[in-house]
Amino acid sequence: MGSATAAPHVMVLPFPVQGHVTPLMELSHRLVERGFQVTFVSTELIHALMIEALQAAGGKKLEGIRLVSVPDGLADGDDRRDLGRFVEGVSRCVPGCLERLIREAEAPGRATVKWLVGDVTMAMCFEAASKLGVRVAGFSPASAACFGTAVKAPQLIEDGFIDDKGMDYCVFEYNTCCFNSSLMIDVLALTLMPEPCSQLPW
Amino acid sequence: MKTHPAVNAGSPKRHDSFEVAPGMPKLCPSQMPWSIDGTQEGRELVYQLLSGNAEKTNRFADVVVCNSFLDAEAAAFSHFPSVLPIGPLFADDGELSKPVGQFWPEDEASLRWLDSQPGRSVVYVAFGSLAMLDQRQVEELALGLELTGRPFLWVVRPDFTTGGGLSKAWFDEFEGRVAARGMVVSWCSQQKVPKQPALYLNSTHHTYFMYSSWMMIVALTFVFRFNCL
Repeated sequence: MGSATAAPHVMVLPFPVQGHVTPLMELSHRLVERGFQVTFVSTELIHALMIEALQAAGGKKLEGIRLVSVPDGLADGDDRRDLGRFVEGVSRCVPGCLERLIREAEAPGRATVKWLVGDVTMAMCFEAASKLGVRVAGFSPASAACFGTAVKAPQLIEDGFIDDKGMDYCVFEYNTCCFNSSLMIDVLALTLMPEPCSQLPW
Repeated sequence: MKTHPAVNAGSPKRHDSFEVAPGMPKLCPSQMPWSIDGTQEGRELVYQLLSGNAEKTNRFADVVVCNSFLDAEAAAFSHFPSVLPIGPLFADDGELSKPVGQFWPEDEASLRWLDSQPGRSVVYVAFGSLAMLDQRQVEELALGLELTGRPFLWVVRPDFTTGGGLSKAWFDEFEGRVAARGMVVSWCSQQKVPKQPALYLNSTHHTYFMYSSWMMIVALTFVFRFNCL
């Protein structure tokens, strides 16, 4: 449309797994309620699963939300549970596809994309949107502390708590022993603490 | 230019705990969000992903919003004022009537089972969509849950373990031992389960953590109030 009266266009980009699609779809509903139009960008496989699930649920409609898909950069038979391979494919493929979608929306009769609401796990796509003049809102599906800890990683390296691979000596040396003992303490502590949520960022 | 100290992977690092920000809980380095995955390679990969994404977000995002709320982690929001709380996103009952892109089958039996449990009793354990544990970690977690003596709801995705080392016979036996008070499902509703009164310390709030979960602790925190993750 491009006219001043068109609903402002927001592109929403989840990391393509169930636990990230859900909160961003919830946020998309909120945006629509507040007068935005949403283009929800998934990878092809996830897109197909979402369409299938919507049809299985009796053809429920996503009002105000347009579902579109982009390739994830992997071949049909590739193992998408291999996180390294999956992230490599997504990082290589999705930024360019997103750029194309944003450019397509600049065509006459279409609504220009004003904002990208992008999962911080898809931050490899943020530059592509930013350079086209689209403003970017990073969305963290997890806690602020979790995101903040990742932000602080360079400082933690400098202070000697972790190395440049994110590892600490303890984990290297004892691996699952350390993991397990700390986990079990957490399990027990959490089951005993009266108000643990205020004390644990994750 | 500031030079970083020489880094030698595997060399002794500090073992003491630290605060990411004043007022936040003290952590030791093995409790980082990337310390959960079963293999060292996996942890390093998750670290690279999380730290790289944080850096790119800082460079290119105008704002960062978070599926969390102020009361849940006031210190973190205070220290990272550019991160805005907008959660928990499923707090509005009206939202439940709208499709949220659910494509993994949800185990409805878990809701019925939760209904039958005493209020604020159930430990809810889930690790989001991606995290994988190796055989030993799964076994330790199983035994830990058994040791707590509490009812629990544990989401074990079909692809939850790495390496194929987990014995089905061992897990079946575990399920048999805890059958009276534990339920294991492959996936359950991220929207409905956190609202169940049976969840331990689940009060009027629900946690947003349901969606996160690179880490065990995140997942366990599910148990409380809010809910990845």
